[in-house]
Amino acid sequence: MKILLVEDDKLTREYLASGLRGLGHTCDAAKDGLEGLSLAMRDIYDAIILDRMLPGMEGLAVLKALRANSVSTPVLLLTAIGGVDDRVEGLEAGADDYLVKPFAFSELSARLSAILRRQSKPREQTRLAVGDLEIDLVRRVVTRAGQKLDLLQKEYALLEYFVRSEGRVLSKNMLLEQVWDFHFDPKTSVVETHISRLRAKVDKPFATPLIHTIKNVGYCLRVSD
Amino acid sequence: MFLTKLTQSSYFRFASAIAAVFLVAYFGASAVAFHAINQNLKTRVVQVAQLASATYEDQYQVGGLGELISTINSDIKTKHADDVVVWLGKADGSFLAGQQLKDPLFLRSGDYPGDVLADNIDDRFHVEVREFDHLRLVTGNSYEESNDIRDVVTSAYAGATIVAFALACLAIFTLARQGQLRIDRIRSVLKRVALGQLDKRIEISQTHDDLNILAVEINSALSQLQTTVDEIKQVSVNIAHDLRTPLNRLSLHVDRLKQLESQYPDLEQALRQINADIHLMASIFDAVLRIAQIEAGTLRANFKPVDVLELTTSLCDTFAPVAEEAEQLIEFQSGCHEPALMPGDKALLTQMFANLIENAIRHAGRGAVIKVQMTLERDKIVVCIADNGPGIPVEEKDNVLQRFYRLDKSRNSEGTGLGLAIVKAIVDLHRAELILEDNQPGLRVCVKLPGDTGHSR
Repeated sequence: MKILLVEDDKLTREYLASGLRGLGHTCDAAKDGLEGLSLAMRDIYDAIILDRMLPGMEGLAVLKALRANSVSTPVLLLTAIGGVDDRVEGLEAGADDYLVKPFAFSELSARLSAILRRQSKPREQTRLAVGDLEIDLVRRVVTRAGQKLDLLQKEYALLEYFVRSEGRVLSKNMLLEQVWDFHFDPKTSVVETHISRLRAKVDKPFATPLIHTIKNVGYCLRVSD
Repeated sequence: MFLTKLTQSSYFRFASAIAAVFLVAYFGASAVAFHAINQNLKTRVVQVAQLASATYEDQYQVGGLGELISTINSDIKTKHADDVVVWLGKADGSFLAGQQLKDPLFLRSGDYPGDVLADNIDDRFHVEVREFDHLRLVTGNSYEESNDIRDVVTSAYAGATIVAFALACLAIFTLARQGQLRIDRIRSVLKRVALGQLDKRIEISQTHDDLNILAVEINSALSQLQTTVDEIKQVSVNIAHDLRTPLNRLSLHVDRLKQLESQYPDLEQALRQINADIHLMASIFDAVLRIAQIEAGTLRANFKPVDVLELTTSLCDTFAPVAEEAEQLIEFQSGCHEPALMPGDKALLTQMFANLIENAIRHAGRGAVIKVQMTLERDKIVVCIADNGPGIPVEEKDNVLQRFYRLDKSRNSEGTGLGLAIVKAIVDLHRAELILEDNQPGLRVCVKLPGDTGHSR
């Protein structure tokens, strides 16, 4: 994939660029808003990582200009401001996701792959399946190997998100935002507890686990190899 | 509703006072005028009667009794008995000419009712009595005509009064309404500003009156306020940026070092600690920034109806398994089964309730029962989170709401010390009330939220 990175801090830019190349992406880097905008307008990128606070032209202004010129490349906004209305402002301006500094590179790469995939997957399905696990989205019924699983509401929401993101690593923050609509750090182990409960129902009675822990990053649902 | 609002308006009161003064003056002046007209009309009737009497005497002096009798007799033929009365007789009362009267010797100059003079007369009369050469002349003039004039004047006056009164009322309402409308416009702008829409301004009209001057001054104060708030916002954005950039670099360095973990076994523990500290710094910073942002109040502009019942139910579902891990139980009770709507910021309300429930889970200890209760009290939605853990000492109740305050004086316990401060800021933003009570044993935290006032329904 071809990624455009717009970030004014040299060290962060270089580190992120080398990390992205390490993941097998090609990466162009811009150091200010105007340069970023002129590169992005060429519309040749699969995704744009855009810092919100940039010299020359602000990240949000760049984003708005892109959307106004119908450049629909997925954008991951990086920001130093974590307030609720700043996040909403970013998403309303046309960002696909929002990441607050400081972040780990693994978090960035998880979110980047999420916005890259979001494009291709149609949402109007009535049935999802991974291996022998099936979700009937209309009746909200989950079966594994033909056996009906009795899930609570939050467990169902969690599993649905996992299945929709099959094979992708989901960070703890992504789960909190998507499943619980939590935009703050809970002080209790909400995610861990729910994952362990879900595992007890989805994985434990069966031979092969589907939900995998990815160390230092998060979780991933996939048919193990 | 409209009337109460109108009568409270100072414009209405001012206009009413002026109108009242005007009406009192009007009635006073009318009474004086009316009295004068009445006097004048009366004098005229008396004068006419006196003139007739004098004219007849003159006639007698010039033409003698015969001519006087024939003049009187021809006069009463042309004139109506209701308007004029003439009687001529001798001093002993024997009739010579004119109309027959009941008791002509009894009459003196003055006013009499018609039926005292004769049976067929009903108006009031002024009578003049004159005696000369053993003759007695009685002339009378009716007040009927002057009464007619007075009636015309009275009804014209009554009409004018009604018109004047109606005009005065109209003037009061128009003045009061116009003034009230302008005050209402100012009030609605100030209300919106209080709700966080700092860019709202009062429309300035062309008239140069005190209300307009006031509006101009309010506008300039609002501009000043907006500039200040914007500056503070910009400063905090800059600080956030300047502080988070190095923090981010640090975090990325740690990332890179993690790749060396396999070669240096001690590194893992050290890196985990560094990561935890970076995370803590970022979250303290986040919390401080967020409190400042919440306290600025501008978030009110984005308030939408939030269903508190759905929110609390969902949070209890979320934290029930977490509590179970700590061998605790969360019980949810609700006093209503329909959506309990209130204007608010859903993300912040979620954080507030989550924070309170998590506090109970973290501090109530193993085996505790945590009760989450939602009740409706008139127009308030009350959510209480009660545990039967150790609770908070009475004297600490106010302190725990302060920033960076911790019950644990050694400050070794986890967390930023800002949790309840954020809760308090969110409570204030929603104009709600936060009550910490002794649950005997345990802590009971109640949030009294203003319910939907109806305008978004």
